[in-house]
Amino acid sequence: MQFNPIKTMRVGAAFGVAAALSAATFSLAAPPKKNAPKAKAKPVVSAVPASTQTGFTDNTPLTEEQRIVHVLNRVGFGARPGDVERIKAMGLSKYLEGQLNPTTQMIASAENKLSDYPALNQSSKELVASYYSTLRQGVEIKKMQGDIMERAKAGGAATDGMEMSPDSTPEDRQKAVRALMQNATPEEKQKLMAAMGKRKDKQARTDGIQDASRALQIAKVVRATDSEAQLYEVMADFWSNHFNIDVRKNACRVLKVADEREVSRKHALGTFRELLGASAHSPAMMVYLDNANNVAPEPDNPRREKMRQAYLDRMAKDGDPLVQAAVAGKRGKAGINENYAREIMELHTLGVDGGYTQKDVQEVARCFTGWGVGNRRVGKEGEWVFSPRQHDNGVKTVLGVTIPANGGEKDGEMVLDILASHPRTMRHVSTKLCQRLVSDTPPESLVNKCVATWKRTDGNIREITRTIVTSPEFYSRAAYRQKIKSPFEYAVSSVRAVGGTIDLSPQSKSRGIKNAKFALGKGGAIPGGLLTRTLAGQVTTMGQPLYQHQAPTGYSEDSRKWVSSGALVSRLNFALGLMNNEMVEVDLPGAPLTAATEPAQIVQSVTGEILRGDVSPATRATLLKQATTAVSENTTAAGQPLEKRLTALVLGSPEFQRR
Amino acid sequence: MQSRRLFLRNGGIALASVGLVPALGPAFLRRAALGAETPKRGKVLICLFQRGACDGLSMVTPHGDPDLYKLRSQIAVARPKGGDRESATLDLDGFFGLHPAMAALMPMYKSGQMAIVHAAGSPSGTRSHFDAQDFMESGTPDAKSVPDGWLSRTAALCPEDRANAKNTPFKAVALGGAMPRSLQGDANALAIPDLRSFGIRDNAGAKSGRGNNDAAMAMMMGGGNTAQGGFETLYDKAVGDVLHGTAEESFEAIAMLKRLNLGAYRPANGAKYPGGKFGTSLQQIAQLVKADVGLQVAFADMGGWDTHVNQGGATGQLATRLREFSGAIAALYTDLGDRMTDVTILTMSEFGRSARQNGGGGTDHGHGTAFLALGGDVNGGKVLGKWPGLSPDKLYENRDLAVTTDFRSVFAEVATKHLRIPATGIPKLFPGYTGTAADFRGVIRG
Repeated sequence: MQFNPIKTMRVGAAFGVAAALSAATFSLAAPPKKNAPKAKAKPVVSAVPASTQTGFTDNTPLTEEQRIVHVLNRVGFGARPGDVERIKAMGLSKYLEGQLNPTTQMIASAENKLSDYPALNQSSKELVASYYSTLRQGVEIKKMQGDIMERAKAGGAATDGMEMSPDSTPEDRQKAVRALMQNATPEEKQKLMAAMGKRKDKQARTDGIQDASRALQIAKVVRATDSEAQLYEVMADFWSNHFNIDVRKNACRVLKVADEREVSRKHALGTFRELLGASAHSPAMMVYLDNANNVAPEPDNPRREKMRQAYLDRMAKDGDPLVQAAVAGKRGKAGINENYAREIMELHTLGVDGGYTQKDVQEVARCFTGWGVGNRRVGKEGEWVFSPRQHDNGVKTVLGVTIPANGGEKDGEMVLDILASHPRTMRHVSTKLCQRLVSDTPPESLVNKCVATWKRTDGNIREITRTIVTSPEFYSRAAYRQKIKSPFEYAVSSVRAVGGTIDLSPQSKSRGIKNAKFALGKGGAIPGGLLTRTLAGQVTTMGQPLYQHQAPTGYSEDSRKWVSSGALVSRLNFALGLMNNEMVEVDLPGAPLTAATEPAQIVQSVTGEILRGDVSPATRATLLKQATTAVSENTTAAGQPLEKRLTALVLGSPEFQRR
Repeated sequence: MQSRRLFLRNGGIALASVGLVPALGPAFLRRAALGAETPKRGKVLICLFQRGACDGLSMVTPHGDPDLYKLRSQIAVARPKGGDRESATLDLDGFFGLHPAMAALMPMYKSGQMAIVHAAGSPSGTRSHFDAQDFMESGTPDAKSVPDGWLSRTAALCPEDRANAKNTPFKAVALGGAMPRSLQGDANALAIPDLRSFGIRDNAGAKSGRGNNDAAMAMMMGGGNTAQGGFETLYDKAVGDVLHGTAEESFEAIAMLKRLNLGAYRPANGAKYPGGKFGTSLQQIAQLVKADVGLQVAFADMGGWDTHVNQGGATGQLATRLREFSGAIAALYTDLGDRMTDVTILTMSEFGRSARQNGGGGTDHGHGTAFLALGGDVNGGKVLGKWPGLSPDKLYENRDLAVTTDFRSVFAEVATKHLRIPATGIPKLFPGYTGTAADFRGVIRG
């Protein structure tokens, strides 16, 4: 019997305490789109970026500088000022070798900024403990709110304004709290204050859910932006998406923190078998894909069932509504849950056309019975556990391989062995990796090379990656700037391109707020709330809420899915907002890129720095016209203001949408 | 004139046949039936999701079922009491009653423009909000890896010969927040938190002042040399790039919204939207419908239904939510006026709540719930579906209202009979679903 953590997030959200994630609800996302919209009497639309149509035929080799830019864009989150020159000086192959074998120091280079986020280092057990305590607080507050209202009603007071919901505006929420306060006892008042985060003392509400969610998002942004181990961060991101977990499901809110650390980061460049195994032992994955509920059906045993129901009845009388709700969800009969079994084959290993049958899904599900998450009763709340009593110990056959009876926990390990070394897995995962690193439609020849390396090295991810980044296919003209950046890649590469750094100090926060507020004039609310002024919030607005892809597929590696009109508007707004210094945690460099004041020179230096000269004549002409018009109409704008303006335009340009 | 012809066939004549035209029908139906000019318009479906599992047994109370009051001694809404419109349920048909906080919808029910499907829900037994919402929005119960949503597939399958079927950026729109699972997919839907803030936000350009770099930056952008202008030119010149067409659509959408002059909007017919996000979203949906921008499907959602504790009865927590919910729908209906001829509003929730109240005066995660449908095409004035009963042997897993109507049959009926997607498209809309038109509950006329 395991407790399924229920979703009472809404309780917390009602008080604005789970704001980090609710920020995601203010998104301006648009969906992926397969094909280019029909052009009206326009020349043939091709997926080839405009910039590559200027002066190059399709098989011109990349220049040395372009090869470097390509590496920085594909196994990195874009170039920072000076990166290209630095790599040129040391030699590209030496740089790549360093990236393929990142030192602990390189990986840790971004971590010093994350020392204020202790959740990142917490175990699953610690994370789940704080998850429950946060939920209990929320339930308590909600109950208190009800009590206060009952009392007010009994006293003849109006209670209308006391209601709060996740949809309440901040003003309504404040009004409700004020109304509640008027009717609260001193003790209740204290609790309400703490819940609203008004108290500065140590008794203030601790919100483990918010802490974990924030830490997860901020760490992702900081690492991608600042880490020296860029290739490693790209791979960790790839695997995190491959083994997708939506944090909005129950305790995944906190457990994903441990999953990120122990699965995709720990094994980013390790072997695929270890990676797959780590994911199968991740409590977050067990919850997300329901294997925590995958239990061998018991033969009808009235005595046992009676005991079970009695236990549930007893628990239902528990005064804790959280326990009550969890019990309510357990009334149904326990049995096989095929979800993880299906997705591990369809998504994590073999692929949708991987040649397995529904029978295989059932058999794999039987093998994984009993793999799940421990509870309080066994003293292992939140930890991965194998429960022998829930395991089906019969004989199974998976993809033609017989798994003998009484294997216990080993059944699942055998399944992992079979799947990790299956030729279909090699092809499916290699193809997806080539899609991320090389092209939306990766050449078959390259996938074959990856599969060969996989076989030769027993699924060594570092070696497979090396095969890709040293291949002629990788450096082909057809691959160069072929991919449209994901929103996350776009945001991070923008910050890097302009030499911005992440500053998580309180000062940085107030600066961001000030700029955003000032920009909107007196009394202007920040559209979508302050959290949309963070990089993670902007990425959400652009359509890729981090760790919140509901379907287990994760975000598509086919970058054409990112082309949509609503999302493009958000990208342009991001470019403007970034250069207007509105991002809460981004520090822009104080000094201009160039001392030049002539519009043409500024255009030259901005496009040179950010696009490395890969700029179409049309874009250059547009920038130049914008610049000269601006200067002729108001000469005071020349210099850094003009440079910032042009930089925003360049970041928003079609060229910079690609990597 | 297709839409008017269809209307007359499906709505006007149906009304005439029961003697409602012209004397008793709502004014707009009367006008349309009498041949007043109706512009060529497409059908619109507006889906409203009650996230968190709405208690169908309180929203639409089966006051004629004696078991209800045994299961819910404190929170069941009282049986109808004549003129009491505040503390008792509002009788619908002698067996069901509408929650008194939803009185605003009674006129629509009485005029035959609102139907209710009770004991509706998902065949999946999950009691996880996350999974159940996922399944309802993907339209595929218990199948998780379907990447797109049912509304996205619906928008993609909408017949092309409809009014405004040009390549509009506003074909499928989600108001109020992020892209919902329902609209993820290839329909190129737009998710807009608030129409008023959709556009190029050039804060630096909007500022003024002296001695400030950003202000100087803004000043230089005078004379039409705006950021938006700059971006438009950049993308306009990027012919041959797949982003070119997308940008064209984006700027077109911005221009269209600008023309709508959203700030000056006044709801019609005295409609009054409740404050809050949900009301705002519905008002903006009304604006899009009236603006004829080619809207086919719209989506908005409202939370706060997960009433585990202190749910309340005729008044209280749930009543407050229901008042806001129904008030916003009633305002949308009133505001749209005769446009409701072509609009169907459909509400849904991932599952219902336990038939028994719990120890905290609330209800836990359950199974079946009730959906509402409003509009000119709706076969209203009825509570549809099969009532399974609330006696212990009839409850699902001995605790919840059973599901007797698969949500997919309701969705499929609206998609085929209102949006006129051919019935052969049902397997595409709901992969794995074997239901057919024979399973429809008669939500839509004709």
